[in-house]
Amino acid sequence: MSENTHAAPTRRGIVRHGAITWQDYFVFNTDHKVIGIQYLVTTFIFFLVGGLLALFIRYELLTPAETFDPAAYNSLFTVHGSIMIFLWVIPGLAGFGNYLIPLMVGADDMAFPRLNALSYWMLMVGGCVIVSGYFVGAASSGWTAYPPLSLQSPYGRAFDGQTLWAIGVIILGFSSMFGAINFLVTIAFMRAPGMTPGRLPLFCWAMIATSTMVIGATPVLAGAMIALTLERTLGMTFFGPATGGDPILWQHLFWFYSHPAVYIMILPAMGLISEVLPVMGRKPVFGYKAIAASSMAIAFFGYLVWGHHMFTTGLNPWLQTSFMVASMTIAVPTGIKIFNWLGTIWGGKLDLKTPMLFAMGFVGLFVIGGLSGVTLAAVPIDLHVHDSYYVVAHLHYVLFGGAVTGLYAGLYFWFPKITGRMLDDRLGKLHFWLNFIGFNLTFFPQHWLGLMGMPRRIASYAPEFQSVNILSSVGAFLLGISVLPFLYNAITSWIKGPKAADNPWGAMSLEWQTSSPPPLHNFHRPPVVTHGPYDYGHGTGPQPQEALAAGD
Amino acid sequence: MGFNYSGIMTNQEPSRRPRVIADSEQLAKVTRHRSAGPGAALFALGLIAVGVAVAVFAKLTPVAASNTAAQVDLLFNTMLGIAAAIFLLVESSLIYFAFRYRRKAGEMGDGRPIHGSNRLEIAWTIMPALIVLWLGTYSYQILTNIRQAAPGGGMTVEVTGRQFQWEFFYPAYNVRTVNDLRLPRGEAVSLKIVATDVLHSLWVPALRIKQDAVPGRQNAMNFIAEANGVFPIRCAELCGAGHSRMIGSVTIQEAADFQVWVAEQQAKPAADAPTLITQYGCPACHTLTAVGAAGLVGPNLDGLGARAGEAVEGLSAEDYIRQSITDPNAHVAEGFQPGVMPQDFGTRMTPEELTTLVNFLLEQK
Repeated sequence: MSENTHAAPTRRGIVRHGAITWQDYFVFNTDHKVIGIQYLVTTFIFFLVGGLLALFIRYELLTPAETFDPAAYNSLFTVHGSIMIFLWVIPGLAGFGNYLIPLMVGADDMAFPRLNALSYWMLMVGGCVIVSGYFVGAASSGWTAYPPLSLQSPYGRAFDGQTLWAIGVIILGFSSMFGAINFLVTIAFMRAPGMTPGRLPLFCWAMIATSTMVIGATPVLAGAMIALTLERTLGMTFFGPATGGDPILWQHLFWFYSHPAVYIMILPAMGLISEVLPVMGRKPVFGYKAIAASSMAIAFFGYLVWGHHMFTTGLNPWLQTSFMVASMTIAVPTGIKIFNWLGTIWGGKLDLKTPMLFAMGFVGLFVIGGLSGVTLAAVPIDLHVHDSYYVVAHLHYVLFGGAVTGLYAGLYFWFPKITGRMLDDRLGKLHFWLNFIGFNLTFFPQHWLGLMGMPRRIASYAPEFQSVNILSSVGAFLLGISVLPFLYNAITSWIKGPKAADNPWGAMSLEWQTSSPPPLHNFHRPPVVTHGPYDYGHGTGPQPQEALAAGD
Repeated sequence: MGFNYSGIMTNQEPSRRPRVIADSEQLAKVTRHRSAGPGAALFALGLIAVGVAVAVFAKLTPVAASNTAAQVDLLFNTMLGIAAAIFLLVESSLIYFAFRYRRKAGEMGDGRPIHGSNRLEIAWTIMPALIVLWLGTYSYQILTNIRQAAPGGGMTVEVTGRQFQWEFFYPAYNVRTVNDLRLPRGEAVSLKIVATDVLHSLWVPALRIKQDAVPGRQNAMNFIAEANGVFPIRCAELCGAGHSRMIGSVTIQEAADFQVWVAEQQAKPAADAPTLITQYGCPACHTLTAVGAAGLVGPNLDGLGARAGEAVEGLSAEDYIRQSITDPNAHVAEGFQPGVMPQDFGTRMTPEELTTLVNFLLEQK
């Protein structure tokens, strides 16, 4: 076996494979590692934009009276939510899928490299289409875009930000589906010899569950968006009651995607921390099969619970009950994961560097979102707190405390592999603590606001809620500041940080058995897998999951 | 770095390490306690005590104005108590592990090779499943209680949500109000809720109920209010630029007082302009200092009489104001969006009311 016969990056017109210079990151590049970096950097920039909008939201809420123009405020939270969900959490996690899956299964690239590049560039186009809505009157009906409100044309023209928003989401939906097809096919057919399903890293299991949901649910969202676009631009009727449509139909279609989307946003993050905890805890993952199976169970039940977003619409009482029971059931596989993560670090030798802090922070914050989720599944409680700040708190504990914390854990953990440089751990810890305190200060008090009667998506509120809102806004500003040490750390470390060893954390999975960053075709020699990815604790120290092909 | 395992293993003894599934002895060794029993039992008791304390003493909801509201609070507090115990279990484990198993400086090596425990997996699958099953049953029971507390019938109030006001109509008394719901205490009430334009959601936090107002269908909200007082009504479903100011109140009073109020409404002479402005919900969108209105969605009406004459060429001040109320999209003031203001004031106002309003606005100089 030779070192690698075709290791040089190639260029054919604008299509490139691999990167030599920085320009290679700005073209149609088919190397999954380049695409992974493109995804992660692009989505992080969108995260900063969405975060800035959030700071405007919290600025408005410092006082009980309106500060901004009310319509502009509505577009603030509409674009904030859309960016965070469609342009940061979902594609950011897909960025990790792009970078890690071929390396983890021992493949030299994705199954369909060109489709992979296409899915990235569709993300760029879709993102720009949504953000460009600001030039023609931004969408202002919330990220849920409920008709008939989303059918109104507050700017007096059909081609406004709302239409661009729907078109952008369609493009992003296709981007997401192309990515999911790639992940599934790569995991199914491109595994190295010996990489049996039982030896797959848990992140790969999480991406299998996620990708089946993306492929099953996203077409329904795309269909709803196409219908909305046609109704807005050509005057067709799907959802508008004035012409015989049904606004509730939209909610069914929207949530048939958007509740699974919650799991599309949390399962990969759970996969990321299932990698970080055993490596930094120096112990085998506790209950490998239970964690993998619970991912699949969540993916299955995730399809059966969309109606819990619609308890107040006048849903059939028997449907209310069945959606309630199905929603509560998801607490069981979720609990299995949490207890298995605790079991993983129990009795380990915990290396409390930044990635581990974020991974343990994930467990501690996500459990709050999970518990409040069970209360929201109960119809009688939901009838009170639905569409209130209690829901805002809940969803941020799941999506920020969970998904974003998991993304940060992943960024700190794989940064040495991706860039070949180490991040500064002290700045990382500063980031963690500012983020942790800012986050809890922002969102924990919002539970109380919602229970006491403050609806979400309002610009002015009852004066008795002001002090708690100020607390929440101060937390948000702290959360905004917390990004600065991370940005400084990432940029300076990428340029001139200390060189990273190939396997700085002493991990066993395949991506750590190649150089940092990996060569063009990932492995210097084709890997052969002999055991599982988490066999820590056998006296001789950690052993790589890989063994050489015979004869090398 | 602590580790450098760049050396790659050769393909030998592929099955040299059987998976270790821990038995209880090994698990006990991990925690380095000879017997974890008493400590664990004490800890579990502590968690239960905290859970019960939270369930009994937590007060995180506003005044309960109906008996079903109190039941919802009890359900919530029960779940909160269970959640508090699980929360403490997870967080204290994380913190304890972080200190107890933290790797000391220079320490190498791994924890024990424990890959799981079937016994524990079964335990932490079955116990949450039982808790969830019980919570589901309990929630269903409360839901049934809410539905049966006032199974329709009783006094009907027709509720109409529109951008951006709540209209309440009492068909039995032929009384109509805006943003002002009055109910007799202790009587079954059935709100029949519709919307004319977009989705709205009628939320009375004191009753722990909200119900969406959906154009094209009628939803019902049945309850018996049991506490006198004035409680806020909020629109909980985003309905456009004036969503924040789509606020009303429900006044619950003794049946006799309620009848007095009804009689007053029926005998009320033609309303004056400030009353009409409030009644038709104008302050949700417009600023008009004379009546204390401070809405920002639509044009400011202060000094309208002084400039209405020049607004549109060929229209007198009076005609312009009248047209702006009955056909708001005919001439939209610069910087504002068409289609936001309801277009049915021409049919909802009597000609006398319209004239009163126009004359009042003409006087705003």
